[in-house]
Amino acid sequence: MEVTIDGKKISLEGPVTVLEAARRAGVDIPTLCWHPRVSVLGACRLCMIEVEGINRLLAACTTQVSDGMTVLTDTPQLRKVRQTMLELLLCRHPLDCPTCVKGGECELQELTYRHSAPENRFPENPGPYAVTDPSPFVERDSEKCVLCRRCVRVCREVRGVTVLGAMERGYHKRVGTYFQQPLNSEFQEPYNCEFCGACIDICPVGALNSKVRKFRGRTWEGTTTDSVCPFCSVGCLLSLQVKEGELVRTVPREGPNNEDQACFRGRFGTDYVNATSRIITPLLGRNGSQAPADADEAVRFAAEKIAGARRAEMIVSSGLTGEEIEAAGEFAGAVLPGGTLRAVDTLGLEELAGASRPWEDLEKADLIVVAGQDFTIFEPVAGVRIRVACGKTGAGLIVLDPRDALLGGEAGLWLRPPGEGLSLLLAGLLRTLAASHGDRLKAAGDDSFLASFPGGENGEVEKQLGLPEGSVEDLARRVAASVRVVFVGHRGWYDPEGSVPSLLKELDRLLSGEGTGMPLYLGRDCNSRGAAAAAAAGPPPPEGAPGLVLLAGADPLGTALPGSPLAKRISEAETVIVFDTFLTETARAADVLFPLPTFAEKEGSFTSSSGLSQQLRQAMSPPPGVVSLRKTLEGLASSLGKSLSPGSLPKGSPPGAASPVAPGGKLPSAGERFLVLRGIPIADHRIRLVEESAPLFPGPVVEAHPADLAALGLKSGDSVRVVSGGSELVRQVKADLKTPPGQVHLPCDPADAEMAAFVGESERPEGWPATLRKLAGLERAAGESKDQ
Amino acid sequence: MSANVQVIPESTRERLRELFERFPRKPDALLTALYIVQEDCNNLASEVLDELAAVMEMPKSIMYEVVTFYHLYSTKPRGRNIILICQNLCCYLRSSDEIYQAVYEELGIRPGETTEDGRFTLETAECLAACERAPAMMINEKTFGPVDPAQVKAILKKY
Repeated sequence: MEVTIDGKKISLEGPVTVLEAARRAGVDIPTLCWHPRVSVLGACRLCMIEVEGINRLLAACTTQVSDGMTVLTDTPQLRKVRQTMLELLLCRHPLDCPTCVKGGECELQELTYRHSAPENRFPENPGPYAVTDPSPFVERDSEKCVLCRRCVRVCREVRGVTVLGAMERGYHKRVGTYFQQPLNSEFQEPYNCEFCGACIDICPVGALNSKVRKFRGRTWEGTTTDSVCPFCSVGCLLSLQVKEGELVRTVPREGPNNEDQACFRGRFGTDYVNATSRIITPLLGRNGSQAPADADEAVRFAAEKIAGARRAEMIVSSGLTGEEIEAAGEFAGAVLPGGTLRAVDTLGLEELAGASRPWEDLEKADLIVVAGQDFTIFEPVAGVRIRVACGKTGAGLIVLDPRDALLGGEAGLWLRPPGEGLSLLLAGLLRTLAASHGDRLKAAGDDSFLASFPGGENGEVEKQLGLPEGSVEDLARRVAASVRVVFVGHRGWYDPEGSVPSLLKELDRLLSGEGTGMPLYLGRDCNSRGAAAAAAAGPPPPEGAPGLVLLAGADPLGTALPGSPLAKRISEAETVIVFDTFLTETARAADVLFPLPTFAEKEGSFTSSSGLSQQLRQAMSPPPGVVSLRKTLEGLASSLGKSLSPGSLPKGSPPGAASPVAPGGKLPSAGERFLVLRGIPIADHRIRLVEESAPLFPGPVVEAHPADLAALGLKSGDSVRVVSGGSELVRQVKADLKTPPGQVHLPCDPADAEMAAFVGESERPEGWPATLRKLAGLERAAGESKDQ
Repeated sequence: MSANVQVIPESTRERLRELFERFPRKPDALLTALYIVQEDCNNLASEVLDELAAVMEMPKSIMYEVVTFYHLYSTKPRGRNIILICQNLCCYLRSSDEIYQAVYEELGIRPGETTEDGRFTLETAECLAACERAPAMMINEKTFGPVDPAQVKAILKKY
């Protein structure tokens, strides 16, 4: 097709809008409601154009280019129309630009500056809506709203949250919520605001603002550095704005994993960097008697302990950079007696070391299979990528997740394996594919692999998991019928043995025929993939209690990790040396504690869910006295007369990494009323430091389906006793539509240590059944006093 | 919000099920579904919409957009009988304001208000498609016009 825009001839392939064509031709057409990430609305009428032969003005964003079209974008008539549109927008828009948070990056300001008429013929008459939402984080100022509805569209189409809407009609039209309720409240359930902040980014004016970042700095002040989000394994790229030594703003930027999205944690949670409760000097002494110490003194103390230890092990967090883990490994190899290196939160991920699969692959797939915990809670940006890919390409979506978390409802097939049944379901899928769809497989099946997964024979899986008859066959048929299947896995707690990565990898290998078959897989922490690769190189951990445990960034005592054996190990150690930024539960148990810089204060790299390694850039200086982990370790090494050296840790495969653990034993047994659905903590101590986030946490409750509660004569807020095997837990119960009937969800608020212990209980009945009983009056009083 | 008490009665749910059978997807039937529920439950207050959202399996914000867009859906309790008086040009020129006044004198309600006994709710209308009978008034599904202010009392008596 050939079109002429303002005298410029360009040829292009359709279908394409005039706006798009003009941008390609280098012609600027002003827009306000148009945005590349959301659908076209055509509401603002600023992009009006003249087309030769058509007797009226057209909106460039909604008009498709046709061959031979001649377009004019800048005529006296169009200039006048644009000026009038802006004049009309401004007559309802308060002109408080000097104090407006958006000043400097306001699109209305910019458009007015470039196009507007010098006079305003209409009296300024802002609407009567000075709405300020009582919810944390997002401030809504409807007076400034220009009704472009970008926020409504991004909330719906990209984030799938659908909490915002364009309410009322005509002059009364405004962006609002269901019955004008707060963004995050019971009224909105099950579509509740996640405070991802996408609406704040996309708002062209100051109608949607960040409450916590208000008045902390103009957009052009200080320095802005590009870095990587430190929270989950999606690997979103962020821009960090620092003013006078304070991190004042975090916004997502365009990246291969996140496009231009982020979530609540990446946007608002980064405030932990500024927390005054940070550790900035070494501390000596244990459990409450910890006192600031001179750096030399702390090094001397630690060096003595290391020199005197018979055996020592280094445990690193998966939230450290690859370079920090490398330094820890070098230290363990060169300095620690009998040193080993292990990482937390990497279970099962060694299987995927070194492989990568970009998130863009979702857009080449004709079927996306989501296995495990739905990301819309824990890693919303992964959910966004899946939703956007399905919307763009029409790819099919299959979700295997017991809980209802938005994506399930959007799927063509949604199977809900109860409890921890996911690995069994995947094993069943593997078996059925091999048995009935052998012609579709591009690689030979590995019998020994399947043999390591007892159970899951044809027809058995459905019975064992209580799924509808034929559903595994249906799943296999859909998978086999697709040319390009992409699996997205999640290290939720439905996979306590970490067998899902290897199952997904095998499925991917059979279906794609590629030797490097690998699913997109989300580990627990931002660098789980990198940590798994580094820690797998270490020798197996020593038998028996270690004399010395060093922990870098890891807080096994404070989080409800399934690794309670690890917690035991720490409490049995003679000496505990911790490197951390905050006084975590583990740090409290340290004999000596060295401060670490935060993600904003260091360089390094994180390996994300896609296997992509991304660079962190230092945005600000750490407090005086806080140095990098490598520097601290080098200091320790040199005081012992040694130095860190690469490759000093003996190479070797840890036991268990090569052969997956059998999930066969984890079958839900009939007869018990409920199955326990173990949640994953949705926050960590860094997020807890952001005070405004408190209402977002589940708190110390257990959740069950309202129908189940009704059947037991219970309602939200009642105290219940959850009994499973030999242990029990007394908690308030909360009605929750996301939890399937017949299961009880323990959301594992990380502040709830008792629930963490209950959940981490290693001796528990097969399939993890439980009973739920209402507490009688006397019993309740006793239970409540025990809670306090 | 308790899961035990149903605001939308079973008979209405049955009507909805019949309705959904005629549509490929439930959300396509939204306008009629809202109409049915309002007819049976008097209004579309949040307790009602909460339940309907679950039945329709659609986001509440989208339902609320539709409910607030259309004048004839009400989120507040309404009287047993709905009086609509046209305020558009033809009726206005033929003194529709006097009809509003007559209703006010008889019942003591202004547009948007409901009588204390719950018998009537008065609402404005843009056009009742009865311009040839201006000024026009409508009570429930029956249209009156041309209405003489003096007749208002007699008309209201029938309800």
